[in-house]
Amino acid sequence: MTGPTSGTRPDEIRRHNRTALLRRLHVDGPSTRASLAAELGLNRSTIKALVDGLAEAGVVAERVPALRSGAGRPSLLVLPQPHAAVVIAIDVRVEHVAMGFVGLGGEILGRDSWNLHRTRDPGEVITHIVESARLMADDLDVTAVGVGVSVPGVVRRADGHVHEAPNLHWTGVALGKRLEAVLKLPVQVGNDAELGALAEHVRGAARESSDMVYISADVGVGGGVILAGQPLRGSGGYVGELGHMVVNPNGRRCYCGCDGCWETEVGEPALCRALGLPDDAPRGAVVAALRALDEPAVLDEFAGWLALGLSNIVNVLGPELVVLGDLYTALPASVVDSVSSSVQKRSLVSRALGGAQVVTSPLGRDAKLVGAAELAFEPVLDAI
Amino acid sequence: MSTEEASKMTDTTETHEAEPAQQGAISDFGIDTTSRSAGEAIRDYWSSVRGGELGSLPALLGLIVLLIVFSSLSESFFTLGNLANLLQQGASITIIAMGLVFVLLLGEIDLSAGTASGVTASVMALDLINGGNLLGGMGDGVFYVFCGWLVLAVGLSLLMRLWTGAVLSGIALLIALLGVPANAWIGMLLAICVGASIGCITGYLVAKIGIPSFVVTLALFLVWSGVVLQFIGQGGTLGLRDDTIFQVANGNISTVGSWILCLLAVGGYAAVVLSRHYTRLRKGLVASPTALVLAKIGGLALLAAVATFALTQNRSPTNLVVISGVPYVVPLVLVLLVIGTFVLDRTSYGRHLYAVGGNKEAARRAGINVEKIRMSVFVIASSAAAIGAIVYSSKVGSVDPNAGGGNTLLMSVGAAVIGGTSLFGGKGRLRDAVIGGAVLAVIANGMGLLKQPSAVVFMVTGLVLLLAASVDALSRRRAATAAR
Amino acid sequence: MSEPILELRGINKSFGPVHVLHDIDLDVNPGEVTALVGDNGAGKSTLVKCIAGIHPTDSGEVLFAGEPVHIKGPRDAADLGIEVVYQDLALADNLDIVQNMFLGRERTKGGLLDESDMEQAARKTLASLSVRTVKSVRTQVSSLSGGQRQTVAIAKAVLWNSKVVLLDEPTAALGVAQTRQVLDLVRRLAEQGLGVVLISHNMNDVFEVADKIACLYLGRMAAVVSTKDVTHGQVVELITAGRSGDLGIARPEAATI
Repeated sequence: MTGPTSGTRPDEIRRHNRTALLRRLHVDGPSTRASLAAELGLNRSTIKALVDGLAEAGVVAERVPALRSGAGRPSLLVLPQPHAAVVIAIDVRVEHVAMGFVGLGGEILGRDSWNLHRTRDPGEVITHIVESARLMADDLDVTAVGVGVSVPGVVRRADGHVHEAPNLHWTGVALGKRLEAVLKLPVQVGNDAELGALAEHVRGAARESSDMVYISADVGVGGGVILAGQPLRGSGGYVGELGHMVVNPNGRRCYCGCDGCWETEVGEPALCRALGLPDDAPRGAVVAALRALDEPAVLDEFAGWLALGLSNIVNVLGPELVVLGDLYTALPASVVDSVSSSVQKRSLVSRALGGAQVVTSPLGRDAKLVGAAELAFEPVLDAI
Repeated sequence: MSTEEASKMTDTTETHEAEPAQQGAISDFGIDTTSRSAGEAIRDYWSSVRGGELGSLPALLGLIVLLIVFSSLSESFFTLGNLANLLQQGASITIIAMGLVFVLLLGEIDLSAGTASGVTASVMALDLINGGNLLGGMGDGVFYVFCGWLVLAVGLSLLMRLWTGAVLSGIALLIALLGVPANAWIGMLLAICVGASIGCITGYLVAKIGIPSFVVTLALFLVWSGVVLQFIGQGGTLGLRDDTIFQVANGNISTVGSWILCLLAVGGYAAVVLSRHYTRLRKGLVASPTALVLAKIGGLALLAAVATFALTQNRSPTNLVVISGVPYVVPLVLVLLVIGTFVLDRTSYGRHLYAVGGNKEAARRAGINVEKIRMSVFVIASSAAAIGAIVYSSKVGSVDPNAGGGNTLLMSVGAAVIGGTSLFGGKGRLRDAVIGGAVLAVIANGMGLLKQPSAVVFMVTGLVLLLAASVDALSRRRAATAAR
Repeated sequence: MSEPILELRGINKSFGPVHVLHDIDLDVNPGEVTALVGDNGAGKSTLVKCIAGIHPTDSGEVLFAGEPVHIKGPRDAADLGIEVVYQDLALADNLDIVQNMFLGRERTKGGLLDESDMEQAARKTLASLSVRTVKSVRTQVSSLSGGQRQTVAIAKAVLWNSKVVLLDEPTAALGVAQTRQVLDLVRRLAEQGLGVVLISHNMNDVFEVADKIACLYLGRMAAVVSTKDVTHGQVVELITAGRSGDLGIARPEAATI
């Protein structure tokens, strides 16, 4: 991810290799020196020097693997040490805030969350975040080196300015700057769906896919897109309101002003209606109802709208993989399968691609938190 | 997160785990999925020892020290004849102690195990002497009370759904009522079954009625002393002339048999340890380093081979007879040790036992039948006491009114505690009793060879026990502070 | 569709002459955190023990998933899918995490304990809850911190695929930071669709995780309110006086025997 390699001095090369090695360990977890050498295209002595240096700094440790193939002396595993670099990941949602301290290698060291029933005032949310961060840092005995925040709204990446987060009733909140001022740490703010996509790409279902779309339903429906391994961002970083694609001109009025946005047919309220729950049923109640569902037919109409929207998305963006996140991970497998096959049949692009897969996220509810952590880690890995 | 999805995650972990080495589930519980090198394993063990998890280490060290001391002080101590004798002397206390470990694991005590063993020994002797006619041997009144007792034991165990107790007591009742012709094996079975019936009633009083075990067994200690006197008569002895019974504590296995036993023991141990080790490795769970496991097995094999070789040499002090072979008590103790350890470590019953000993209320809330577990340990202790009784009666060749009295019980409790079993419950293993029993046997034997008066023997034994109890208490305190 | 997973109807319980619970009605919905609050002696713990089968009830009805059930002991409750996390006495100190999680319900193969299978299952469950604060699942419980113990006790509920989890003051003995970790776990249980009942003294805890608050006052159910609709002050009034404005028992003084 860093710049060109031409004309660099040896210590810069070394630095570059070190970052590449760390990124590999951080993302893919423990590896043997041999596999690190093979994957990074470096010779064994270079890897040895790098690993020894990192081990001396306490960033990695080497241990004997438990699983062994074949006889002979086992190759040592290089394990990233979580406490070597810790970031704070914050996932601001409509109903609650979740936060976690995440160590190198993606290990969640500690977590906290609280309801936003009573107030969503940005000032109060920030105060609570700061208080929790201090408590957890003390309890875990770690010092964080960066902060990543996921917000369900339109966010300017450069300075973390939340332009608008409709479901939170936030407009023009300088979240990044305000958090930076109190936490005294670099803060990155991203759109929740975009971070969900990042999480799936780095640690979830889409590790092997360079073109993927992540769709998640919380209260609203959002989408994040990764094309050719890079996140797709519009001008100024505003993109991804896939939930406001109009699919049903005769449909319900959406708060954005349009009629029949996709969100009104496949969002959480729509799912609640299909299940016969009140619109504002708690998340757990929806999940419980989906788990207890013995008549998947009640979801047919909902699944139809889901497949319709996904077909459009596949036609426009041509991903090889669509990951359904958050509430969608509770959908019965049969529903997901039927949506997947319906998209494959209906979408021209999917047919051309040989079938775009639709799967649910293995990260579930944590996707955005994990994404926020990865966002915070991006600048950190170069600096350890 | 839904269950489905959780199960999906599970699936992915599984597939990862199936993959050889490289990546996978290693990120969770890092320590659990990487093996330790031999050095690290030893370091871990050392740090747990320093953290207060001593186990039977102090007793083992003490045993080695005692062996060295006595060998240097007495020429006749480290002779084959004496070592074989030592095994036969220590066996009965060790067996009773193994039974008591179960009781101690619950934080209870059975003070009556010694005199109860005397009762079982005298019933066995009466049975043999009277050719199976207990009615004649005991006299009418006593016999009916005895049968009534057995019926009560059957009834109470049925009430508590303790089937084993009911079956054993029932067998004793049948043997008594049917007047089965005397036979050494029947006699020994009768002793064990009577032991079980005693345990049923003790256990019921403790577990169901709720009398503290100290009080119940103190009372029964006195009762059984009286019963033994009643069975044998003041000043009398019941001689055991049966050759089978004589062989139990005094006989030896043939040379070939000894080597077969050695092979079976080592082979069995290796099979169990290695199968568990490789299962863990295959499933990607943390396991001791293979080298260390192999070293353990190798060490045991060497020790067993040396011992077998030594014991199969002629150890007769004269040239008139040849005495060689492993004494029968060795396989007897080994079999009891293996079965008991298996029950404690590998069955739900054993797990529940430890749980009740650690936290009775937690066990109850986990749905464990605490009363039944508490009753069962007394059945085990009394049955083991009966086996111990068979061994000591065999050694002496008779049963006298003091059988199982005196300090039999206290020595057995001492053996368990010296080995590392905690009197507070929840902590201890069967091998503790064996090691502790060996320590006591070595002291008694060594002091005897040094021609020390009983006064000194008692005092030394007492001090060793005190030392063991202090080690336990101190290590507990250490463990408690380490946890903070 | 959204019928309660656990319903209590007119539960009464006396200890001798002391009438501890009067006609308690309570619904526990799947996916919701129901906080049970009340003063010392209001009957919270007794109620939980009645549901768990530790105390028999004198009268009243318990419905599980709409079916009337009779819970006669902890085993019955566990078999239905009701897991109880007690504030104390929950774990055996001398056993390790795996042994505690499977206590009373060990997995066996051919009559022998299947240790490696249990260890894997325990590890997966803890990982699925992203509980990674313990070094090894073979750690003895005696060496765990208070928060870790609660985590293990709660993880048991997930391992057994329980439908309802009752937590009796799970954070009473914990520091602030550990309390938050446990509350976070409580929330995630509910998000997995479990019905959660949380007994707590701490209003902050209650408002941070609960969807619904049930207030006991002198053994009576004073009110069951949605967290969104009430303030701290109102709940405190319900706890101390049995009523607050329109909420609560009509004549609380009648409740005092």
